[in-house]
Amino acid sequence: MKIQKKTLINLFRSVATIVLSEEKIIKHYHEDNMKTPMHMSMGDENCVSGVVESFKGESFFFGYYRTHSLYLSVTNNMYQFFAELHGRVTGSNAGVAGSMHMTSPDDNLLVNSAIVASTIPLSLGAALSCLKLKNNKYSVVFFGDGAIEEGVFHEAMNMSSLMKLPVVFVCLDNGLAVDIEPNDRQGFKSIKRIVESYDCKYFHSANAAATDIYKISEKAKAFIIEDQKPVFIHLEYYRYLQHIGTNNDFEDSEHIRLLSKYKESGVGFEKKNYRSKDEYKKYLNNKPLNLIRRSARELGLLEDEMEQEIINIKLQIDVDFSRALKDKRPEKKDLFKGLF
Amino acid sequence: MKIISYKDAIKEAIQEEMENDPTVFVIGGETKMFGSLNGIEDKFGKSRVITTPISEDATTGLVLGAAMTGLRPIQVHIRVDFMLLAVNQIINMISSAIYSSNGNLKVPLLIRAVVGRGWGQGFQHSKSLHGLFAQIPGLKVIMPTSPKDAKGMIKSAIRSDGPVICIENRWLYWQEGEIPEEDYTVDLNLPECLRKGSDLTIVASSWMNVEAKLASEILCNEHGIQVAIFDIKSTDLTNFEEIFNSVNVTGKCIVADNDWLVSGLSGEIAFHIQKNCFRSLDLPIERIGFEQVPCPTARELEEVFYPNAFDIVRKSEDMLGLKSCSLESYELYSHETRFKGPF
Repeated sequence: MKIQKKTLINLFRSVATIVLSEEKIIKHYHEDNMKTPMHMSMGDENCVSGVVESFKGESFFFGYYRTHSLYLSVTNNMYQFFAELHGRVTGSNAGVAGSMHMTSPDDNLLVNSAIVASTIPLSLGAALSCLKLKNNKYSVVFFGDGAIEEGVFHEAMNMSSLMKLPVVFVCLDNGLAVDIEPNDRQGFKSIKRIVESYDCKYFHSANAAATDIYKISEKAKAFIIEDQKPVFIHLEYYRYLQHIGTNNDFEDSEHIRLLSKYKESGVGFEKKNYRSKDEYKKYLNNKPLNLIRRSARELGLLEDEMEQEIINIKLQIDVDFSRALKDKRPEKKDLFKGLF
Repeated sequence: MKIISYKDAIKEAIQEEMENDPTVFVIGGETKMFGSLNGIEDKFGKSRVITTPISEDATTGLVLGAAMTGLRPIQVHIRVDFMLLAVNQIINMISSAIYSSNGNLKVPLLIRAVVGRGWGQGFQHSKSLHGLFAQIPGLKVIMPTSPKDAKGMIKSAIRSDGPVICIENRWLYWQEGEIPEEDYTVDLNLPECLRKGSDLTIVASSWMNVEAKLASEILCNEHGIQVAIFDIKSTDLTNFEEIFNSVNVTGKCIVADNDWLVSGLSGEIAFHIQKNCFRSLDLPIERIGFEQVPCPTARELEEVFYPNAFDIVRKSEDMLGLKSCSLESYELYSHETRFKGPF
């Protein structure tokens, strides 16, 4: 399958936007202007960008608390992204949602939830709307591998299969639930076997570039159209940072060092050094931007074109971040806005 | 006007709304709902009356996802107790869906749930829990008592753009009453005065309105006492002006809730009235509700567990300084003659 140049640029731009936006966050998080718990996406950028590029414009999207990749790849709106992280009224959700819940209903990114597996059944309802109202074709939901341990995952797999709903289950598997490995929480050996037992088509990749994941997503899409059944895309990736926060597992970041004077600052929420440093170093060479850059180059995108993209994105990030920081904060009267 | 049962009033509401709006559909593990959906599946087919696997949690999530993408789902539970399997979806997801989008999402969904009672329903078929859901911002909880309100409030709920939970007492299903022939709706948050009186105010929810009515007749016959009764109809306490006016006249108030009292809606109502009528109250506000135990099965224990009209009479006599009248000639409501179980 040949990837069009426009798609290649979109994929590269999406990954680069997420990577560079998160680098901006890391640089400024310690300044304490972004008062929101952040589950950084660093590592899943290729996975999310590949799936979104394939399904965007004809799908409803749902995600979980690691929202940055999904929000930016669906909306490409860095200004509202940074404004939301700063709790400003100009943010994607007017400052109500923060990092864990930012959405964009106008772009059909409907709900991101901090409760593991809780948006999975929502995707079934949106898929039902697709069938009944023809207002979209697919309903795509992202979740971590820990979600498979929740009961509602199995209820949703059963119902989507039974009701033949056009749901795309996307499992972003970093092999960790906070800092707990699969062996300590999973009595099953194969996600594939679980998925297939629900008569659901299974697709898989590990540490792939967005271009490859785009191709897998296109195959999955064709399967839904042909067989009118849900599909499951299992994407393994390496999570570069801690479960929450902007530092890695091995050393204290500037943020943590600055916060450590506060006793209850969240320092020590998860263990340190629970992963192999050698493995971390191995993945450092394969960082998300390198992954997509290599692949895009092989597929025909020129180095100069990619460099120019990066320059443009960095400039835009600086402009949007500064603008968001200066934006208006919510007022007391805003507390009841949007309450039913 | 026409006479109709509560159960048929619900059916009419849903049937009419489904006729008028193709996005309305019913979904649940059991979709007969004690006759309140009679003929709906035959008329609209399985695609609009969807029977699900026994998966309350996922179904509630599905309903939320459907509501925010253009459909108007009505989820049904034959017992409130079963709805507890979906509490994560209701409290963590549904309640905050509109608010978290800064008001940009619409979530038009109705969850109907039946409260069981009698013939040994026991501790997992009898909860009401409206007070539990009343505490959560972003949800509306309604408890229609009359057929007129059942139809009118369910229609309002289906047409509203936010989540509504409708708690329906099983015993009310047989109650009959007048409803308008023409299309009508009833507000989701307006209490109604069911009886005027100047001696005592009773503020009641759901089935307790039926008990309060019988109690008011006994008090009138035996003591010449005139009791005002207000049906709260929902857990929304923002439109209590008429109730405050009544308590300001009577100086005495009983809150009769079809639920446990501890940390419940009755306490909230009592506080609300006390705060607004403090200088008019002759006595502390009294409350009547379930005994603070899980609902037992054995008849003798069940009768102690549930409050009834006689309890209201005795409490009223205490508050009014009256001697206890004889209740021998009065009969409590019972559906024994038509309801022999098993469900």
